[in-house]
Amino acid sequence: MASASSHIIKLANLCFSWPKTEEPVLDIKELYIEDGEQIFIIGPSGSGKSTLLSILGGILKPQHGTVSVLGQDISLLNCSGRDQFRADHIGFIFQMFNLIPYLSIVENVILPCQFSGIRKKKVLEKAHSLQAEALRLLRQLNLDDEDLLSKPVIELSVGQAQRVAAARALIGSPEIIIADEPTSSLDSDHRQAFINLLFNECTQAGTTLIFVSHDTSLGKLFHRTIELNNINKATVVGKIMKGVSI
Amino acid sequence: MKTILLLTVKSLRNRKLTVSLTLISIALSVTLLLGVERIRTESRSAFMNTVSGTDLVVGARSSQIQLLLYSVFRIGHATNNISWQSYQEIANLPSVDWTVPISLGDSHKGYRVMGTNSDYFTHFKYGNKEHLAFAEGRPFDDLYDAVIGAEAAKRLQYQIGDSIIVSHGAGEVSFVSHNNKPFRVSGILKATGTPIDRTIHVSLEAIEAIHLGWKNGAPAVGQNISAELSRRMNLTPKAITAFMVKLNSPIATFKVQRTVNEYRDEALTAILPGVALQQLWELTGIAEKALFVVSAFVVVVGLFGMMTTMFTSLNERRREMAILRSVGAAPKHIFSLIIGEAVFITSLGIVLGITILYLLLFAVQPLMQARFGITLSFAGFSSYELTLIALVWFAGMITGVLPGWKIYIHSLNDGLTVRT
Repeated sequence: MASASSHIIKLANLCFSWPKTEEPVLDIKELYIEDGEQIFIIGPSGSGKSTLLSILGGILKPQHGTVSVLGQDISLLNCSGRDQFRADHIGFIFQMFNLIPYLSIVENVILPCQFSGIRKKKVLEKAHSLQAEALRLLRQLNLDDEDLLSKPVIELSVGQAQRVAAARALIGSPEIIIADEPTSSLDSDHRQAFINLLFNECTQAGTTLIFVSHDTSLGKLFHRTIELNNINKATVVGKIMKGVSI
Repeated sequence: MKTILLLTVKSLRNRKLTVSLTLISIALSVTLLLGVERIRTESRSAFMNTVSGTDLVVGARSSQIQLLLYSVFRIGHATNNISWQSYQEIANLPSVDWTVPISLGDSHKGYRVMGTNSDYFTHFKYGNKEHLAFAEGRPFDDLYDAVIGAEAAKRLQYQIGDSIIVSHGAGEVSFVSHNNKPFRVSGILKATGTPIDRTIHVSLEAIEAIHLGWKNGAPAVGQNISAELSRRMNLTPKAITAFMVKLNSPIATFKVQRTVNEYRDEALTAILPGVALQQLWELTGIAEKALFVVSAFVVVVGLFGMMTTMFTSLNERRREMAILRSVGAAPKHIFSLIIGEAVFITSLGIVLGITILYLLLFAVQPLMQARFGITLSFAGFSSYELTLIALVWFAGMITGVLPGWKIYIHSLNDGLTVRT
């Protein structure tokens, strides 16, 4: 029980099914993630990865079970409570098209601070402005070329855009970063570099990283690998019921 | 909320072309809506201003509106004249304070020539019971003197002492002129913003003089009575077109009206200008309503255009909404982003529409003055116009609800699964 305090995320008896369907997509008895852990979640497409991330982010609400994040059962919060919780404590990085096309690079990075007073306050404790912190993070991620920073985001390469997205997820030091296949559109050199940069930042800030991918080769870089198919009973059962052989 | 507003503006700026096209269509529809309303009220007030302080207008038997139009507004023509004798008898009724005779039928370069007497300059009132005032010169003194309205003087660039040839007939183009009897400009009136500005005033005697020796509306063959010879002849008018009556007491108005309408010797009509105007408004009201309905529909079409562009943009913006959701935006933020867009475009459209309206009024003003004697005022908005503006604004906001609702549902269902 004493060690429970170091669990930043605890899922117990989680069950989720889409509205108007009987069959659950997620059925997880338990899942613990420790504070500061760098976790690799692997699973083929259709294994419920995105659904799990949406539940952790408080976008979806499970029908049963507890979703304890930072000691708070977010499944008990209402809709706007979960939105605020996500804004305050979780940074997201997606596979691609992470950026708002009509905002500048720096504006994209500071966006979470516009929705979270906590993250804004955290930034201003260390840096004298949001812009300064955004530029510092971008520099950390090897984006410090003045010409590049003044470009519209749609002119960035995929690798550059992903690093801007990482800076956005990191700003204001959220406790958790959820990365949903952030490297799938990068080539292998960039992939390695991106993951290293991300690790550095997370280690420095003590951030818990949940990294989702279907690329098994990345698993060795992480503290721990969770195979979603092993813990999610729904997919196994579902596939057997449907008779899918893939 | 400040963030959402900022996002709205930046997002709109990113879609300049479609947004400005939508903006223009809404602006033009607002211009049309307010313009129709403005022209309606301005023309009404211009008509109202043309005559004041007159109890009755008397002319040959005709419809009230027709009599009002030709006698006061110089629109259309009289069907018949009033004999000088009838005029004298009615003018001498005990309850009559003063009368001003009007004799129409001639023109000068498209401007109507009106025969009257000097009482016109002392008694006649317009607008808020204002008397006519002279910018230059004085009322007619000599037989061939003419007093011209401000607009006519300006357009034709006439000054005191200039010579004028009067043409027969009231049309723009006339084939017969009274060129043997030129007039001299003796006075120029100050602008009134009424048809008086486009009228050339001469004495009744002068009207008689220039038609001496005419028969059936054309100069009789072999009869050419010179200007000087005319002076020595009997110039008492035989007939006039109409006359304005002011009574000692307004209580007598209906009694005198009845007396005139039942006049034995001649078929006459007496009208109360206010009542006749009311009839005119009833007549034009149908057309005005139709115009209003059409312009209101144009606004609706403009707003539907906005809704269409918003719906088209929604699909490509679902990813954008998912990103905003991931950084902590609630579905209500997404909803207000869309509503904010509708409100912003509508507000800007209204401002632009009003600007276009005033620019147009400014451009059209001289034409309205020259053609119809209507002076458009650049006054602020009436409460009715403000209500119209508020309604358009509100309708614009409502327009955003449907696309807003759709993206609200999207953002609830999509969650973080961003679809391309």
